[in-house]
Amino acid sequence: MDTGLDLLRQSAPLLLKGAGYTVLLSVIGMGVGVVLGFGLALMRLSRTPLLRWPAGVYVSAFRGTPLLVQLFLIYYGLPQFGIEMPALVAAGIGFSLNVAAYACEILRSAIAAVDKGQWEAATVLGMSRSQALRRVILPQAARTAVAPLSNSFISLVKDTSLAATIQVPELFRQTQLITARTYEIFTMYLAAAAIYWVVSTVLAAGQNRLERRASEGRR
Amino acid sequence: MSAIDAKGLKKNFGDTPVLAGVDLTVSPGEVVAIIGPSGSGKSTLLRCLAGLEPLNGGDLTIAGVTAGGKASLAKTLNGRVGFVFQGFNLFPHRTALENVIEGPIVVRKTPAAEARAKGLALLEKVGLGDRTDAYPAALSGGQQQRCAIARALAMDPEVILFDEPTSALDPELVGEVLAVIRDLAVERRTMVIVTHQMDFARDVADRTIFMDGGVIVEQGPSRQLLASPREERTRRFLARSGVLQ
Repeated sequence: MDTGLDLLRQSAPLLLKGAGYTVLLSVIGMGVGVVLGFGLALMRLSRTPLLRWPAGVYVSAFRGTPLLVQLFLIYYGLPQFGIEMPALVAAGIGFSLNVAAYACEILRSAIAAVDKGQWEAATVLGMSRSQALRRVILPQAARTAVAPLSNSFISLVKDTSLAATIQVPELFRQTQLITARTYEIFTMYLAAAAIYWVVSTVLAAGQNRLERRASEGRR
Repeated sequence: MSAIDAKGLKKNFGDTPVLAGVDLTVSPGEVVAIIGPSGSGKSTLLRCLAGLEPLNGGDLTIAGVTAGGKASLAKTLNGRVGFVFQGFNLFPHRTALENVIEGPIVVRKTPAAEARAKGLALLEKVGLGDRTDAYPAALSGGQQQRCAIARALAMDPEVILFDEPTSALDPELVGEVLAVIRDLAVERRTMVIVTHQMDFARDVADRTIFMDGGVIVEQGPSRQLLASPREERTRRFLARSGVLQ
């Protein structure tokens, strides 16, 4: 047990560095993913089929294939066409594209869930579609979307462990490297699990605060 | 010039004709009530007048705007035709005052201070002077509907359309909303009111229109139409509504 604690102390800097990458990838994946997802959601809600169905195909493809396969395609597959990038960039792109598909569906359904009468009230005041969306619909849709988006975020934190397979030195990868050296398998993976848990818990607390803010003044 | 001039308005939902050629002229300052059984097309007529439903045929000029231009009718009207919904449709994320000033600020680019002052005066007018910072969820149905009326008034509408404004209210809250509409009638606001409140139609509307099956069956001065209709269909409807014996 003594050696276990010593080992943890020695490994702490590496684990924390890995956790830093985990958080970085999560934040980038979520940030970029939500922005892309919002664009896709608007496309899916468009009246033009030419915008609607490419977005539909995108969502179907990225939700219907494993994230691991997507990461391999980007990091190992694209170099065949001369497109090479560092592992961290490949992982950032992969997570963003993947989150975008889920965020699109969350935002699309949140927008669609806003009562039709809200659009009509905005319309008779003379608002354009984009004014109505910005001023009336999105603030209400955001409230619906916070919980499922936070869910996606927490899933993403754990999914970033897949980046280990393309050599990104994030938390899981660091743990693998340490165990390969020390054979303290249970202790190290338990430590990694604990760190994932802490990060997720902090995020969940943030979600609660966001949800309360989003529903301020109502019901 | 008429406030509303409609000829041969047609509207279908799929293959079902809902408006089968409606002619309607409303003069400035006139208050018109529309009555009729559910499914008679009266709400659809109102929604077409406001540009909430595209027409399938006919000519419409309302508040000086002719339907069928390049932009949608509602956008061209720019809030000059007010609409009061059965279900209020207040913006739940905004306070009473914010609901009222939203149109002037966003659509008309009215300076915030000016919009606020006017919004406060309008809420005072509809009896909500002490609830200006309340969110809709904290207001009763009657208060919400009065706030919605203030929101429509904030755009200085040339015509106000009311779609069964008291149908979603508890009976004891109906009176306060009707009182506000009555005040507007006294000011000679141009209004078209779809309603099931026959007494209200008789007292407040200059003219009452009876619709059935997507057409105007009969119209006339409210007292006359409600007391002694010419058409059998009107008579039967009024008898069922308890207005006629």
